[in-house]
Amino acid sequence: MTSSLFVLLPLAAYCGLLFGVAALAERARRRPPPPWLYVLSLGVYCTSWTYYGSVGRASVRGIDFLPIYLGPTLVCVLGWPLLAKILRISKAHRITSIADFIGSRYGQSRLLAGLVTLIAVVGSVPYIALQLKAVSSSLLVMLSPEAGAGAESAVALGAAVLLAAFGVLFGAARIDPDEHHRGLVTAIALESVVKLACFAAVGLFAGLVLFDGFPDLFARAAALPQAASLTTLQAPGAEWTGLLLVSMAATICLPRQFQMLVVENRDERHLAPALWGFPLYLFAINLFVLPIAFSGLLLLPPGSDPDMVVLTLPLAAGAHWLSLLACIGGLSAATAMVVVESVALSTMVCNDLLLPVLLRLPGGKRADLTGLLLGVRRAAIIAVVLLGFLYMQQVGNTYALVSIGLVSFCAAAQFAPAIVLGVFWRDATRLGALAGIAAGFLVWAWTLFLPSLALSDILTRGFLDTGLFGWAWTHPRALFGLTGFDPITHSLFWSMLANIGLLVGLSVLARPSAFERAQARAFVDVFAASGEASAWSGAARRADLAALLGRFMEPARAQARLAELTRAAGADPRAPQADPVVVRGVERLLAGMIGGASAHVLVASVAGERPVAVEEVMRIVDESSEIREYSRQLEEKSRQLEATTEELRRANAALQELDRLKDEFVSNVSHELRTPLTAIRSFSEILYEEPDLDLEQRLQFLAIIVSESERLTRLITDMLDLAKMQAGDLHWQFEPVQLEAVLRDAAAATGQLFRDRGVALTLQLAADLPPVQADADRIAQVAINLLSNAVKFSPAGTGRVRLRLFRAEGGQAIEVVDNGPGIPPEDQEMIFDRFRQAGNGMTDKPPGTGLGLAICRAIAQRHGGTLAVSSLPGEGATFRVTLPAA
Amino acid sequence: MPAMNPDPQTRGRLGALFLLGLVLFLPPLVGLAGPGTVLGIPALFVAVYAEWALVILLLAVVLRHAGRRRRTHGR
Repeated sequence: MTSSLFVLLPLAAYCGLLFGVAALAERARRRPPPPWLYVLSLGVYCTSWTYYGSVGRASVRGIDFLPIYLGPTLVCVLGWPLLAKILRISKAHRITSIADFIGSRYGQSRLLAGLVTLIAVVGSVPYIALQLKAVSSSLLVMLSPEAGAGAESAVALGAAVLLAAFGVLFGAARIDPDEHHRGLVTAIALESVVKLACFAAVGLFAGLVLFDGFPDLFARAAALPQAASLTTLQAPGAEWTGLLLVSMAATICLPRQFQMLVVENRDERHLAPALWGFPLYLFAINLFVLPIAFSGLLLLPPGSDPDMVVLTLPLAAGAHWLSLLACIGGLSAATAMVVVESVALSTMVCNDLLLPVLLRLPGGKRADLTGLLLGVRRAAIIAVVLLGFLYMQQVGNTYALVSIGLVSFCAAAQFAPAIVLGVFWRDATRLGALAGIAAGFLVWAWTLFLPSLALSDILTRGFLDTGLFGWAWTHPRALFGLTGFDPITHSLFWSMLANIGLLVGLSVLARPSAFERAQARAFVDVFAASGEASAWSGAARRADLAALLGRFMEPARAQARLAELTRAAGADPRAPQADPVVVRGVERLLAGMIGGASAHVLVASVAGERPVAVEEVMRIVDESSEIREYSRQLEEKSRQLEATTEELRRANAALQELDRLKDEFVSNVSHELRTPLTAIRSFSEILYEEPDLDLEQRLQFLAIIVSESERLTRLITDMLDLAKMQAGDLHWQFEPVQLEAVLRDAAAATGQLFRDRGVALTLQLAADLPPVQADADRIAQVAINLLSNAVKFSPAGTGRVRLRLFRAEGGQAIEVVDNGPGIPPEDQEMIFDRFRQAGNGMTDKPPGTGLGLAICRAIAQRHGGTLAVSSLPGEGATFRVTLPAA
Repeated sequence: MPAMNPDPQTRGRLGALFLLGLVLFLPPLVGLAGPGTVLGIPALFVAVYAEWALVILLLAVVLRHAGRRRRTHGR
């Protein structure tokens, strides 16, 4: 139909362009990549399946192709909690593939990583076959549509060789400790642009050139016999939901998606734009699926391959250039997928399957491994593509593109529970993950993969009809008698049930090892943790580490890296023993090249001991120090409580004492009040009852009544004074006062008392003292009070009282000295209490209210001074008031 | 780079948007738009693509808003 050269030359030129761009980008790999490069590289999700297959599916089932693209959108919505965490973990642990990720999460299990690798390879084979089939079909359409199956095989083999070469050249050119393939990413991003542009071109051609705008296209399509079914939802709810869920899982779990999304991510900040940029890309490319499909239905002859409409539509319209463009776009879609997938798979096969085995072989620990690694990877890429070719040859013609792809999606979805639960649920265990993934894989194989082989007559069809050994419940399309679902939903349901059920069930049943728990903690708490999961307790010699690194990079570079790590760890660069942090750094460096599990084995061979999980130790230390902290706080609290209790007890005792004093005071007051009242009352009664008492006696009684009333008044006045003073209500008039004058007045006021009792009063008042700040009336009250006391207690006739005023320390002092009986030492402080008088209560009660000294002391204190007594029994007493200088 | 851990409000918005997407993208809502056309295009197609575009738009708005707030808070 078309000249071969017309087709092959542009295709070859396009491949050349890709290589050129990749090589250029590889040279610029030291510079930080722009965010859009990462966003576009995620377009690797859209393969031949999207490019050719979606149109084919839309031609038959309308909008049913779409859930596969809605799922990734939903994952992107959840991207921050989930994808950001996966990204951070992968950076912290130098994750190189999805197998590495799952293996590392579950205690760096090599078994688990190997199983994941195996499933990834088996699951990817149909998907790669899909691409080969698409490429070979598209080339056949362009070159010779009439050629037979033999020609297709030959073309497919050619395509396989081409794609494998792509993979080797882009993905396994050298071993890179960072496992970043800048050239590969750039080429994939370019291919994303090309396939979108080519697909859009065909879509616009269909809508605007072949028809009079998109409404015109759909209006004409409405006349098609199948129009009604194509414009309503075909898939039952369960199938639609299943497709949506499986595509969500695939967004992360497909090896190539994990490679692009996680491993090739250079900067975590690029995730945010990718989260909406990637769905937007999917939206844009899917915008043209329906117009192209409907155009094909309207314009192409019945019976033409619906999967090839993208090519045959422009061909039929005579637009050869456009069909060539479409072919280039399709090639982009296919090559991108195969290259990234094979690179991802080869990394897994090499790091997680072969290397752990090779390292155990005798001699495996000595040789320079760079060459071996590259060889293994290249062989793995070629093997994976060849497997795809074989599958395509056997199965390819039985299924449409989308159906083949969905088989792979279901296989990849088996990783989702282990990843999602592993990132968020600390208690998910290795045993659970192992059993879950294995069971899910077996169910998948039984219900989807083996039937696909059987339907293509590779296996005997027997089990498809009767189940295993004729047991009906093992029927692959109706396991346990479950019918009414399409094969995909059916397989997805049973495999996920087994997978999640075992993962959760075994995880809650068995307790994992300390090391596994530490790894789990490092993953789940990645945003909180330091990122350093474990250190090596064993001693490794620097020379051994250098030799180890030297097997994967040039010795000079190895030495430089080691020195770098030592410097970063702040360790002594001359010490023969390497710091544990350095050993851990070497392990991470190696992990970046050969995966966590293998790096672990290698470093263990040098360090000689299994790692102690620092986090685990830290946790124990944390817990015990937490407990210590608690007990310390408790002790503190109990000490405080004790102190408070003691204080309260003291306060309570003081309160009780005060209460007792108050009671005593009240009883004293009532006693003091009753005594004069009783006297007044009894004499009044006598006067009242005996009117004919003689005058002299009457006057005598009246005199007693008057004197007792005066005493009562004095008592009440004193009590009010004292109460006011203590409550702070009394009005004080402070002014500069010459004490000498005040004291002379007081002496004069009490002169009659002295004369009555025959007691001599001597004044010794210093005349040259400065005035003090005082209330003159109150000071006089104090002096009168003390003088009255002195008179009372001095012996009548022979008593001598001296009133002195002199300069004292800090101010001036007033002293009243008598020669009375004195005050016993035990009473000296008591006499200042209210109603306390020296002497024995009722019997020899001295005259006075018993409040005088209390009032005097309160006045002295109000002046900032003191009132004290000194006395020796039998030698008189000295009351001294000190007042501070003004 | 703690900025990668979204703030609680952004988390809540993304969670709500996820639920909205789930409701819009799953039966019965996804197939609700019946026969008939909008601007000459089958109503089902217009509805599904419009819902899809809405979710992407809201996602972009939420992420850009979170990014802006993170930058201003960072200073």
